[in-house]
Parts: sequence; structure tokens; C-alpha cells
Amino acid sequence: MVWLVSALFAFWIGATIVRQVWKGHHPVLNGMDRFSLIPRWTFFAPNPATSDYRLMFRDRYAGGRFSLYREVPLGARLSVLHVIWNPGKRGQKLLADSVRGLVRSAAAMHESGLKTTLGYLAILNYVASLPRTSASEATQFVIVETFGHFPVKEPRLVMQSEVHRLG
Amino acid sequence: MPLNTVDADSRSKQQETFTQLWAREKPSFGSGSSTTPWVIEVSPVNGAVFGFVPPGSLAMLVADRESPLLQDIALAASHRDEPLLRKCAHIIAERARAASRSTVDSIAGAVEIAYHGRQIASVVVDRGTGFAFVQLPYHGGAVVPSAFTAKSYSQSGTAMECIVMVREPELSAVEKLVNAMTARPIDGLWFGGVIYNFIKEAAHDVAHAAEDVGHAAVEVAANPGVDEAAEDAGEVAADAAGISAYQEQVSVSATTLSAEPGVDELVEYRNRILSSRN
Repeated sequence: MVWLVSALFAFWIGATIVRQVWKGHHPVLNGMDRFSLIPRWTFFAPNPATSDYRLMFRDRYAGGRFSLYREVPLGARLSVLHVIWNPGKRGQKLLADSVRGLVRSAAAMHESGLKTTLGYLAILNYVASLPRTSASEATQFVIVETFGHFPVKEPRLVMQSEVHRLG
Repeated sequence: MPLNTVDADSRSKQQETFTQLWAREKPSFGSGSSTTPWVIEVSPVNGAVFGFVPPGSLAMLVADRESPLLQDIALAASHRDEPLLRKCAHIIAERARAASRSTVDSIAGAVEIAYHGRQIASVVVDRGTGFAFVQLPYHGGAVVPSAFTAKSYSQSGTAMECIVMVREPELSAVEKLVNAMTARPIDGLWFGGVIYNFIKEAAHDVAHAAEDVGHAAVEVAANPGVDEAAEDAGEVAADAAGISAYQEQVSVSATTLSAEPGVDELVEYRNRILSSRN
């Protein structure tokens, strides 16, 4: 009896491990898993996010030269305290939602209309309100997708806005 | 907070105060005389000795032409005299604290600093301190030293001089990569022709995803065990449905907006479009 139970658990663990690396729909595994007993590491998020969106901006100074792209910090550096209190994460969520919103809007809108979407305006308004000298006459933002804390691939430039005048 | 030292958070409020104060006092200071400030570009090599100019800042030191501090900084910067620069940094930090007790009556003079004709600061010099030190945020990129101008106002008749110190920000690894990427031609990512392609690509993906929804639905019907595929497809379906929910039927003609519309213009345009629909 002990051997039978051990074999059952061994098989269960084995099937669980296979399920983590096997991304396809394995007929045997799927057939056996009618009661969802073989977990996936993603649990309730079948397609978990594996990248971060970052907001960067640059200014055009009077005279026509551009500044460097600087990142807009959307949240404080994480600490243990953030498990309990992390209001800065809302900024990150706003950006991610705005980016997704832009892409979705684009499916049915003329591209020039994107400039008036709430997502675009929210990002632009935020960027335009950042501290700068009045030598800056216009600004432009980019949204960059980065992959992990120790990235194995280069950041991806998701989009670059038009240049918008300040003030 | 020293009177003329401005950090990023309190800059707007302080600038407003200085603007009001200076606007009131300016007529009593005559018409002013224009000078060209000396611009020091603080590089990573000499950055360590310019401790009073943090990375990513544009610092301005304004003082009476005869001020020893001004002369010391000019001398130290020319000869890379580190001990002398440290001494100057110490004086700036020490006297700036005293400046926090300045009053309107103690204004010795002021300098209005402009870049390419756009005024970036009005720096008021306190009689007791003898100088003013202002820091403003600077996001890097090439500056043209000859484009800086300083208009000096003084009651004593001694002209005020200004030194502008510019220090590049320290970039993170991602910032360096993005700046390197955008140094290449990236016309394709601008809104317009190519962003359109990017968006079309996204729309194409969604269309494919919607197709998958149909396939998944058939599969689920045939085999109820493929719940995960159905879950994935369900998410995509929600996304596809979200598109129509999110759609804003705002069609903006590019010709009705200015070439580089600001936030206010875009918001106003959006409101106009939305109100015309109601």
C-alpha cells in the first residue's frame, strides 16, 4: 500500500514538473487533469507579465538641441515596507494601463486621433509637469519595455510620442 | 532652505515667490546691463571636486564682480585646484544657510539669466551673504555656452557677475541603452506612418487572437479538458472586447492642431470633439 501511494505521489510530482516546462497541450496530461490537480507555476495568471514598462522623456531646449532621455521614476525603490504600504505602484499601473489603452484605441482610430486619448494625455500631462528649467520649450516621451532585473535582451522601444510644446 | 537654493520639489513655489518679489523691486534697480556668464561644463573627470554641483543640475553663482568667491571659483576651475574648490563649496554651504534669514530690504542686486533668449532664472543677491547660488534641474544634452546671457541689476553700481556650472546627469543602465538606441534614426517609431505600422501590427495580433478564440471555443466544445486553452482564449477575447469598449471615436485631423500641440491644446480639442458629439 505504501508503495502504491508513493508511486502515486511520485507520478504526481513528475507530471507537475513536466507541466511547468511543457507549454503545449499534451493530450495525456490534459486528459488526466480533468480536476486541475496538476498545477502550473502561473496559477491564476495563464500569461503572466514578464516585462516592465518604463517611461522616459527628453526635452528640446531653446535653440533646438535635445536633452538626454531620462527615466521618470514611477515608484519608490522597493523595500519590505512596500508589502504593506506602496502607493507609488499606482503610477506604474497607470502607465501600463495607458500603454495598453493606446494600443487598443489604435485598432479603430486614425493614428492622429491617438493624441487625444486619455492614456496619451495622462502621460503627456505627467511628463510636462516634471521639474525643468524654462530653457525647455518642448518635450517628447518614449515608452520602453524592459525584461527583468538582469536583462538578457535589450529594452524594446514600444512607442515614441510626438514633440509637444511646454507651457 | 537657503533663500536662493532651489531643489526640484520646492522650485516652482520658490520661483513664483522670487518672480513676484523681483517684479516688485526691479524698477528701483535701473535698466540693468547685459553680460555673458562664464559657463563651466562639469565633466565626470572633475565632477568629484564640484561637489556643490550635483549630477543633473545647472548651478548658477551670482555675486558682486569683486567677490573673492567668484574669483576663487574661476581660478580653481581653470587650474583644477581641488582644495580651493572645496573651500568654495564650504563657503557656499555655510553662507547659504545664513541667506535663509534674508529680507527684501537686504537685496544688493540681481541677475536675470537667459538661455537662447528664454529667461531661466532671476537670481537675487543678498547684501549680507554677498552672493547667490541657485540650482536648477538639467536633463543633459549639449548646451551652447555662448547662448547664455546674464542681465545684471545693482543699486551700488557694481555690476553683478555670474558663473553657470552645468553637470550632466548620471544615467542608469537602461537610460544609457535607450539614449544609444534613439541616437540611431528612429523615424519608424514616430506617430504617423510607422507608428501606424506598429499599431497595425498590434491590431493584426489581436485579430489573430480573436481567430484563436473561435478555434479554442470549438476545441472546448469537442474536449472539455482543454480548459487552459479556453482560459487563454477567454483573456484574449476580453482584450478584443475591451478594444471596442475603449474605442473613442475621435477623429482628429492633423491640420486642425498646431505642429507641436501642448497638453492644453490637446485637452481643449478633445473636449470640443466630445461636446460636439453630445
